[in-house]
Amino acid sequence: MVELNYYLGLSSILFAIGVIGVLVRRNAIIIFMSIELMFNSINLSLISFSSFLGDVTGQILVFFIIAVAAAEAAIGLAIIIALFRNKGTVNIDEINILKW
Amino acid sequence: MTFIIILIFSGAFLAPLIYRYLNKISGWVLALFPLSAFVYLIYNIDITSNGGHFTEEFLWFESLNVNILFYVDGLSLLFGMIITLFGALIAIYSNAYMKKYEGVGKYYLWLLFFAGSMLGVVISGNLITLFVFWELTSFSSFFLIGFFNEKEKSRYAAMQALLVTCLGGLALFAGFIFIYIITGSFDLRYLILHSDVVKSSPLYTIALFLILLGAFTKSAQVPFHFWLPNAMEAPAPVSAYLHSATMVKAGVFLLMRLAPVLGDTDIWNITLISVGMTTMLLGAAMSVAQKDLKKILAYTTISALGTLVLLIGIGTPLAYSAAVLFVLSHALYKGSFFLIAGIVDKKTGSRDVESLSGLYHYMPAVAVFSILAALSFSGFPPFINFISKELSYKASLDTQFYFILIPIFLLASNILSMYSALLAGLKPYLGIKSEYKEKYKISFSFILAPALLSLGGIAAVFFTGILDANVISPAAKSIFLVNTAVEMKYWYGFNTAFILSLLTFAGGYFLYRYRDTFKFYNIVFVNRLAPSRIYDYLLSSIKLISFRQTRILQSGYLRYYIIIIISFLSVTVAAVIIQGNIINLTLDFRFEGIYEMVLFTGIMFSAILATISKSRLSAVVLLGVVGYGVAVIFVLHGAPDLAITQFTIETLTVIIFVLILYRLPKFSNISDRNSKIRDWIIASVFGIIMTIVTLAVVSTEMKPETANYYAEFSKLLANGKNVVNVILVDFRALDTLGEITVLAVAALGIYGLLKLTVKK
Amino acid sequence: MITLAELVNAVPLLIIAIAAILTLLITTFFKKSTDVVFAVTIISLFAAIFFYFGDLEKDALIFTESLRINMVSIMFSVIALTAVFISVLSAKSYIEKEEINFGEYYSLSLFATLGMLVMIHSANLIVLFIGLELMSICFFVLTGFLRKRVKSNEGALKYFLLGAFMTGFLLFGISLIYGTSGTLDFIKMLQNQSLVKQPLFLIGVALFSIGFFFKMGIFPFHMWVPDVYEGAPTSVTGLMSTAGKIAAVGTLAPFIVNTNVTSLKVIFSVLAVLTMLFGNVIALSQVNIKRLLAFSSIASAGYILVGITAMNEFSVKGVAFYLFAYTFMQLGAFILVSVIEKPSDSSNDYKGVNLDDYKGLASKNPSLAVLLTIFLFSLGGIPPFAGFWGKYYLFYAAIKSELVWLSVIAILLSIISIYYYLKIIVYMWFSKESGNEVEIVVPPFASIALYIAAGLTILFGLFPNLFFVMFKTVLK
Repeated sequence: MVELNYYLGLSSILFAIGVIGVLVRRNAIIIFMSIELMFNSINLSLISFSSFLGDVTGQILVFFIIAVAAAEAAIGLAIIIALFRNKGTVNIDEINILKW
Repeated sequence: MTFIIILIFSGAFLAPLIYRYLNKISGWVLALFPLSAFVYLIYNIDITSNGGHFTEEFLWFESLNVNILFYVDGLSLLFGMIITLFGALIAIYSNAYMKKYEGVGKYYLWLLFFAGSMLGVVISGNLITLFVFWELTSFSSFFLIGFFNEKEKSRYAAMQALLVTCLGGLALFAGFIFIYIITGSFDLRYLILHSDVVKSSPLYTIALFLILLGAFTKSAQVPFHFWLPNAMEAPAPVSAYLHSATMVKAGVFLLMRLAPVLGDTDIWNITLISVGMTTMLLGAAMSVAQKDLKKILAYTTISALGTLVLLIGIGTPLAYSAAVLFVLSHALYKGSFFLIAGIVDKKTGSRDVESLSGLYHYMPAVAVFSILAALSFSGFPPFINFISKELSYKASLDTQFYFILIPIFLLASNILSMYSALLAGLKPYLGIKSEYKEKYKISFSFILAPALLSLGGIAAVFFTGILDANVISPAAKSIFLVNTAVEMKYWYGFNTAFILSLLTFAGGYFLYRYRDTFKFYNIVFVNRLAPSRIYDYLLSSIKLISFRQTRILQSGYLRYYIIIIISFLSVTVAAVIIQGNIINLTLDFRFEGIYEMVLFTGIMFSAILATISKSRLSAVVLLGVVGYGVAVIFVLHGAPDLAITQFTIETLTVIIFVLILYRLPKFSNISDRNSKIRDWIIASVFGIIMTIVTLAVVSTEMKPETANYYAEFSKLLANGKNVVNVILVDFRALDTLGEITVLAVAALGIYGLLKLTVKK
Repeated sequence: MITLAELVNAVPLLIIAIAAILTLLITTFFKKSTDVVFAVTIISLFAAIFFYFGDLEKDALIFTESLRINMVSIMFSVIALTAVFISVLSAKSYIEKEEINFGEYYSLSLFATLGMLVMIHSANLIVLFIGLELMSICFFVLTGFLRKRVKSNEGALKYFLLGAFMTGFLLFGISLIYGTSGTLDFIKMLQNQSLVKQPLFLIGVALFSIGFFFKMGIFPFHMWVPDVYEGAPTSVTGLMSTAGKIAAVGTLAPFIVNTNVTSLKVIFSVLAVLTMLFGNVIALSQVNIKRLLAFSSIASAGYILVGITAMNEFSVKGVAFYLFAYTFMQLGAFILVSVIEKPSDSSNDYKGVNLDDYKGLASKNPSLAVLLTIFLFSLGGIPPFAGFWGKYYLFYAAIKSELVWLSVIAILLSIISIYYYLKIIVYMWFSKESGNEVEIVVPPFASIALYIAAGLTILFGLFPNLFFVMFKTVLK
């Protein structure tokens, strides 16, 4: 078993990569997948804390995060498709009617 | 006290009904409400004339310790009488004036509502009550003007008037808050007793500044005077009531009310005198360049308000008496003037003093009352205004401020005002008969109010003693707090003040006599000098700032929103880290657990590749790989059930995403070079900061003292072996229910968003 | 494990949960049943409010310590329910007008309400997270409910992506809190006094707060607010801007105040000032009334944050009172906007939501103009309307915490807001009608909702103490 800080380091790096993905990607779906990556990194740190503290509540939260992320993915896809039907694009740089 | 306030407000809410059923005489009936309040005040005059006061207090907002406090002393009584008496007269006048308008019921509603609020201002015993009624006057005055104004051009004026007074109101509130911070009380009685605390506080200056801002905007002092002439679009009775007798005097009232608390410091005296003097002279000077009857009256009102502020600034007993008396006499003649202007406007359709002439032949009664008002305005004896002029000259001669400047300013402005008075009150009625139809029929209710007001100015002669003892002196005393003993007389002897009065008459008559030579109309400096330009400039520049800000912050692009958020977070968290001094990390890389290291590297690389990969599909798949990697780590931490959940859901997500991506059109998915570099820099800085934070978690001391309720009891109570499952099912049944709900809603949402679209 | 007493305490929540599922079932199995669904929704919301004033235990932890029923949580729940009640009441005619009269609308509103209640009552971070997500997901869908309208889609997408993104930070905060405190339970956290001295715990709390700041619309997490408010169906906007904000504040404020993380005061007050500044300044240049109200709601969030920053015994009360007042005036304004909005013929946009459409409203429909004037004056903090006392309470709380400068800045910045409120008022009263002659029909339910809102704005302005009397006498 490696030490806690390795897990946490990995978690932070993944979180940052997720943020980078959100920033540099233009496809709404991939942006959302990057957000899921952020969630995964949080799961990672939660589970590490959980086993470090010897307390299972962290694991329970992880379970809920996974499920909620799935629900959000479903909703997100629905929203993206609804927009695509009306507008014909999922490029967030072209989605700019609401402004100012 | 409460009784009369409630009386007037209930009158207000009954007004539309009364108007509906008693159409023709509704004004007369409604006049009874303020009139009975007036009678009530007169009835109680004994209490205040001895310098006493009466109060009533109610609990209002207990949890903030705010009470409603009514407090009536000499000053409140004087103002209260003016407000109620005028209210009654204006209601009667409106009976005739408002005949042909629509929505008169609402007009009466707001008129009485205003009267009630104004009365509330002057009988408030604490600052919160005062502020509430103060704002109510703004609110109701707005409707009084608004109901009869559909002219597009008056929009600007209305906006201006409202904005200036509302801003002043809030400044006033801020000032009151400062007073509260200093003393811990809003109660006037307490504040007067502890005025030395207020004056010696370091917050005194700012509090004073804010309160003066409120008073000056309401009372149209330079440089906030510009809204008053613009507000002359209002119907005549409204102008007479609000813009001469009551609302604009609220600021003056406030200054008088707070003089014992805030007054008698150098900054108070000098500010008030300077502002008052400037306003007085500028108002008078601007009035002579006007042709419009109502504009002339508006500017002379500004001048009169300036005089009042000046007198309060001088701050001697004599000055206070002069101010109090002037409040009364000004209300009488100016109210009459405004009402007469309304009659003239209504009957002839013109308010242009240049073209109006010979009206005496058409409306002799109006002419008589108008001339009386003009003479009163000019300060001729035996009008009551003569005494107030005399007193103010005396007061101006008797002060250490500004040496001799004050009487000179006063003289100049009085001369100019007298010219305006004659022009507005005399000129239209005398001279050659111009072409008008026939004699105008002027109904009784039309002429009653101006007649009473004009006659009141001269009738007061017979009551100077009573007036002085019961109204003026008590009012002055409640400002100065000690008995002032200034006797009201018509003859104080042949002194400087009298000479100044004589000079005034001579100068005023001279200007009026040779007005054609001077051609004041052509002087257009008024418009150039207007601070309303500053107002316009401020407004447009703040709008420009707003516009530019919006373009930057609300670009509508999601990417910029995220950039702003990330940058902000980076800066803040970095600041906290540096502040909290938590960067004492011990990074010793020990090569333990080679398998984990391989796993970690794999996860990291897939994540990085996913972010930079050009292909959408591989991005999705790589992100899926990261998910699987995380699932493996779950297994390592002894949470196989979590791992299974993660596997399942990750697989599902990836499959669905791939399927959908497949159906969407392709586009190059990486931004252009420059923005890419910018995004990477921002994101990397953020990533580094986040890493530091998390690593710092480990270096802080943690206690894994796990009073682990669940682990101990899960087997006992729920008879399960897998801790997480037991918890999910038994201990956390509600959460799980919630979870299921989330999923159900997700399904519902998809249904709502997608399936229904198919119908199309 | 669940006792009867616990169920009794959770009656309002159960009512909402059952009603939500019931409406869902009705909608699924019976076509053209929206009137029934509407009735069920209204009744259940009313019943929930009613039972909150019933015989609940006044300080209880129920369902294995996952929910807290106490004075504060009841107060916020009632406010949130009131907001939903008024909003749903007025929504009927609006969704009929926009031809999205589906039962799902009410189901989603009820599920969102359930999420809010769960969140407000949550006793630990897990329950809180689930409640928050339940509410958010419903709001995502409701924002996109006008499926054929691009603005609605776009609003939903932006809300969704930013929402999910910010959830990431919220969770990051939770994980830090968990890592440093070793627990997810609020009560256990409070027992550990040394926690607030740990910088990492504070960063955790800060990130956690940011998740809520996003929902409230605090600068610089506010950018979604105008876009989503403009894009969403107007009735949904009203719901989000009131009930959504109440839930977020009602969860965050007690947590922050109880944890007493005074070291975050500086950051909070800076954010409050920036929020009030940007909200008010940007609102000046708006021409769309929905966006204008969105910015004004951002500014309101700033005032609320002033109250939270005070972190004293007045904070929670002040925030609650402000939100209560805010509910009526903001919701009232949005209902009015939804009434004046014109039905969307074939064109793919909201019609009649520009300031120009309000020109001459006073001559066209004086009672609507008076109502809107009341709401706007109240929003501007002019007495004697409820909004004044709300602001006053918040600023008072700040003064009591030695944050005099903050409350003075708040007052001065709220002066700016007067301008744009007055602009609408002057448009209504001092302008001639701009061309369109379409009669404005005020549907019965919407007008009930409007008069309730206006009446309560005035009532609680004249008798502000009623609010506390209401909760004290009934709940003691």
